[in-house]
Amino acid sequence: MKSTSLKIVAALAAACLLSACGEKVQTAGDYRGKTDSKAYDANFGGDKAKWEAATRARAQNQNDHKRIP
Amino acid sequence: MARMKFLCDSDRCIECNGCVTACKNEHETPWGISRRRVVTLGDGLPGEKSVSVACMHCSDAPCMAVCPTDCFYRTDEGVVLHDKDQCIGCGYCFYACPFGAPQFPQTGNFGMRGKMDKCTFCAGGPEKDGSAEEKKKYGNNRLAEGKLPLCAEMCSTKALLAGDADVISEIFRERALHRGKGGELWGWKQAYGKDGAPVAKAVKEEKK
Amino acid sequence: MLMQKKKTTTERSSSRSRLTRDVPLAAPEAIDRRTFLKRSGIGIGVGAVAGHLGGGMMRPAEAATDAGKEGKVEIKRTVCTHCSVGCAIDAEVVNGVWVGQEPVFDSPINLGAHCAKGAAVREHGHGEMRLKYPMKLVDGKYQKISWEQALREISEKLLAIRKQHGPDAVYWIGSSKHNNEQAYLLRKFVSMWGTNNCDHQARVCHSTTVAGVANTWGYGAMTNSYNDMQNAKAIMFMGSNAAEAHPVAMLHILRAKENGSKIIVCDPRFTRTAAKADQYVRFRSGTDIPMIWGILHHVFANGWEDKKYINDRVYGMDKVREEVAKWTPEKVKEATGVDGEALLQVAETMAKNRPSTIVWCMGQTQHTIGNAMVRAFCTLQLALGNIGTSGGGANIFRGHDNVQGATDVGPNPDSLPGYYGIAPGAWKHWCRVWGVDYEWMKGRYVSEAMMTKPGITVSRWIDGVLEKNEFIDQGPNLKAVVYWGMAPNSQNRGKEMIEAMKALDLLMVIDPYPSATAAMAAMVRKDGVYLLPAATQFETVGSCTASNRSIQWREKVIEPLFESRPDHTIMYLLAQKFGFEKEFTKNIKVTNNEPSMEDTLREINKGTWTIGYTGQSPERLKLHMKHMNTFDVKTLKAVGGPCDGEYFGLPWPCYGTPEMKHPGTPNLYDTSKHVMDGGGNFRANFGVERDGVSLLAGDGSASKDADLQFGYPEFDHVLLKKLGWWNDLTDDEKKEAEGKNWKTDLSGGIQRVVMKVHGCHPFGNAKARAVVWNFPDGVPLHREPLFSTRPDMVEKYPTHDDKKAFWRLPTLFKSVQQKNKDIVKDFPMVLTSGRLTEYEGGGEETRSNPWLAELQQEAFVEINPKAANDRGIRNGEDVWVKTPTGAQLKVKALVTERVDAGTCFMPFHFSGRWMGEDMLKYYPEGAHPIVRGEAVNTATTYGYDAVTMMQETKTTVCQVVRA
Repeated sequence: MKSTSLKIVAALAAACLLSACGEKVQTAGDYRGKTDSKAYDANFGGDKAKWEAATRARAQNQNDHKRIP
Repeated sequence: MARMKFLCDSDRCIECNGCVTACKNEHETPWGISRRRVVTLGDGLPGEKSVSVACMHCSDAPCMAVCPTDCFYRTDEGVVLHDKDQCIGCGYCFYACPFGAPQFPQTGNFGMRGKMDKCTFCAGGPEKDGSAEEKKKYGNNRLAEGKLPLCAEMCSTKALLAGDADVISEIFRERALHRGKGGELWGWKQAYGKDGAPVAKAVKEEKK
Repeated sequence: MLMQKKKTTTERSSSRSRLTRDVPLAAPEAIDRRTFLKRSGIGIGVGAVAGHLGGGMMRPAEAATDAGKEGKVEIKRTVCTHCSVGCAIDAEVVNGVWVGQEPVFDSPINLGAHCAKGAAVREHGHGEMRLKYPMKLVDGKYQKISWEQALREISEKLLAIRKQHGPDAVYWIGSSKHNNEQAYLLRKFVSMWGTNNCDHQARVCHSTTVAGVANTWGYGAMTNSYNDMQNAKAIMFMGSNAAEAHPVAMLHILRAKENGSKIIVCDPRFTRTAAKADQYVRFRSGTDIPMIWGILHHVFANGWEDKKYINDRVYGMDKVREEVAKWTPEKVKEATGVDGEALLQVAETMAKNRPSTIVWCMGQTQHTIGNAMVRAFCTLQLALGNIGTSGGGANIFRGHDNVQGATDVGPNPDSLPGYYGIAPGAWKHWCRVWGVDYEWMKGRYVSEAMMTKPGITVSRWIDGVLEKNEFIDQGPNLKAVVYWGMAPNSQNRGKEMIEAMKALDLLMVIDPYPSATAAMAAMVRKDGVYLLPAATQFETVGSCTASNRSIQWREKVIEPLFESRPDHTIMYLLAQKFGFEKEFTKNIKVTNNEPSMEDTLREINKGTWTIGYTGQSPERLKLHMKHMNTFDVKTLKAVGGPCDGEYFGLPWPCYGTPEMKHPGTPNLYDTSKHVMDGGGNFRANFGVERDGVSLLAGDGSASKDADLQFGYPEFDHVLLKKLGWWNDLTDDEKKEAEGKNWKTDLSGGIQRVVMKVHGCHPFGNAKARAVVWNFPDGVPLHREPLFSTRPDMVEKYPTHDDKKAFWRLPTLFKSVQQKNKDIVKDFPMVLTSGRLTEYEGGGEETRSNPWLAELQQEAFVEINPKAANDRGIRNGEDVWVKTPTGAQLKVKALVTERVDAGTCFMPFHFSGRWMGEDMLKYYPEGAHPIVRGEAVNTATTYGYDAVTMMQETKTTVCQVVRA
């Protein structure tokens, strides 16, 4: 029991640490270079959801706990 | 909305430099340009820790704030990129950056600086995605291929993670749970002291 | 074509041109060794880049890509060539150019992960520093010649030497980086040349392990796997620095740690592995046996040993007890410098967290008593009952990508492929496999006596040249040496090697890189040296055996660069010149002078019954490479799919014919499994009884569901008949098996009946030997190294007596030790060596790779702050490292507490500087390593293992002074 609750607290801790990434645009001046296309334009036909799904799935390759329970 | 981030698990990092050569391999950066490197603290001493560092793709990026030509931009995914055609190689961003991410090739015989170069999160730059032009200036654009930075994908112990912050923090969380150790990252204690964080305290209390 | 996929996601531009290649800004502040040394060496790096990497770099790659040709991306699956972990790599190839490298997340071994070397292998596709065409030393300079001229001149000279002095006058050094097929063909090639004078890297790497471990329980190999270490509850490293030498192994090891496994590191040096350990114990270099007996002392004192296991499965543990009893904590401390408390903690961790495993590497093996040290480790694991169980085992990490395979089937001076030995029976077996007449083969040798006498070892070839002829145990001295994929700076006594090179009639280097051999030779010779460019493993196909005995098949990524040719093609061309090419490739298809690697593997399958290299047909291996994702990472077993139930890479022994479908053996000697599921037991290879004590396993101790639930000897036709199992053979099998045993029956019938029908083990079921009576010290005894900083210990623990004819050469022990008893006065520090993560072996290949070379630009010596301050040495300064050989090495001082005040450490990957001098001018133009530094082995001293002739390089002595 103790270890379960410990794990939950640890989980919350990790979540808190990593969720504090709220953002707003904070550049000093406006970008003056060329306009870039979207990451999902060239190979995903502009389908953002599809691109996001692909990168999220790809990220799981870094998760050894997924391959090795 | 995806928010791309790197995360280095210093309990896993063994300073093998796989991330460094993976980056060299993917982008063929020249000798002396280190978009990524591994920093070791307490080298050779008990408690030795290593962590892999590159551009952190800050939300409030100092490089972006100080750039006199405003050559930086941030993509929808939070990747900080720049337009080399706009860059004047002044090096101001190098002083502003807390991580030493900006790199400068020397282009002449008099120590002149070339255009700044740095980690792109394998997302290229403002040229046509996957074009020869983009590759020449910024290296490969893996993100546009639905892939993630090669440094992290090839990390020998999967210490270095890259991807949507939500996803990689979840991967790290699962790992931390498994270890039964707190989820504090490298630098947490340095920043807040041993008992500095309320959450860390709570964990400690629980242990008792 | 296997694994070839069309790229669909994107048309990745194939133009991988570089960003501007130029000088960097100084790196930001950091305090680790790399940053420091990088900065100190920055001038060198820049020089190298400006002078040699610009302009013509990557010619072949750019020629195709700069034109902007875009084409279909082909994926070729290969395996990293830089250590024995066996990391899979997907290479992206466009129009024959290697343009990209992708992680193979599916690989159960590396899950896509790479260290610095693995993540940089694509640079081999550039190969700008390669040896590009055949060359010949003319008047002290290397000149380009044609293949035709090279082969003609070399073969004429070799044949002249053979005629005048006999075949034993030529020494053939093979490679641990050859694939299995090439290594095997080289042993066959050398045999047909008519000598046993051949060897390879394993001699100076793990020969003591192979001999010690095989003599203890059966096979000379890592018992479990990197993957299986995830099941260990405690892991002890001693003489292994996995974090730098086998980085991807740490993926599994750190997972184990995260699951609660305790990590112990015992090492004279606080390594990067130690930084990840729960307990680190520093001890005096060379005192591994007192350490192990000190640990075992606590095990016995507390009754932690596994009594039933010892009773059923171990012979001679009582004799070990007697020796261990002498090693009280006080005595252990005197020898090792370690407190009894620390070792009690180690013993308790290992005993109370079973299964526990132990890892060793060259820290153990490279000693004059290396064979005894490794057996002490085995004994500890046997006492704890840790062998033959998942999570336990002796996890011996090997070094090169195929050093295990080259040991198993390659050029060894004392054995034909498969550890058959070189007795007439072994020759007859292999002649049958090769389809050649035994009498013809005998005629190739000087005599049957020379045919059955172990050759000179690679560690001693220099003495084969320099020793007085009356003292060597063969007719001629060595007149010619062939370095075929091996680094000279990995052998000790470099200073004397130069003299040997000078004295030769002919020196030939066959290598993708000119290697330090070319430069060393040009330093002392004007002519008589030839260089032939070999292709890398990315430019050919074939199989390689990882440390865990898994075999993987490599696809060809690109065609051989420049004028290089695959090693087996070069063998064939030479065989043609020597006139035995027909015998050489009797069962092997040859296309454009290239013997088929598939056919060669089938021939290996046909003959290598001893260690189960028979089941791994090319087809089965290729299927595994294609379906990596179906294998479980912890067990290596395929769950479903076309390889269902098999273990990844069919780790040897994979007995029987491929048709028998043995799944391979993930963990050796594991009685909890059926033999047809990779189970086993200890081998009956040493008779059935000794001094009235049975050597066979105890009653009830046998592999799962075996028909014989007790100890039994190895199987032959007689035993089969006695047991009434003969009629289980088919008629065809009977014909072949008559008069044969499990090792020589080419039908595989004996193995099939014993295993598949009766669940027994073909090599019998015996006890492991804690006492190896056929070795100099049956029970491992501590003996001080020949060069010791402790005269008091030399007095108490003297070395062996000198040997007169040992591997054809006189070999000194006691006389050297006595002569140098007080060497500490002039050379007060221990000198030891080891590996860095960026480089491999002798390092010429990896130091020629700019992506790696940039990370480690200077050779260095690690020295403790106290020792440095006592000598007025500051961090980063140039120092001379001097040894009793008279050699001195100019390197950077790295002042660090990694080492204690009495120990110096040097990495062994450097070459290209010679006692202060840059050897750049001695390399062929444009084919030198980018980073050059002093080779530690230029200065290492005399000393060889009493069984295998392993060199002593881990404990010698030195003095360090400011330069």
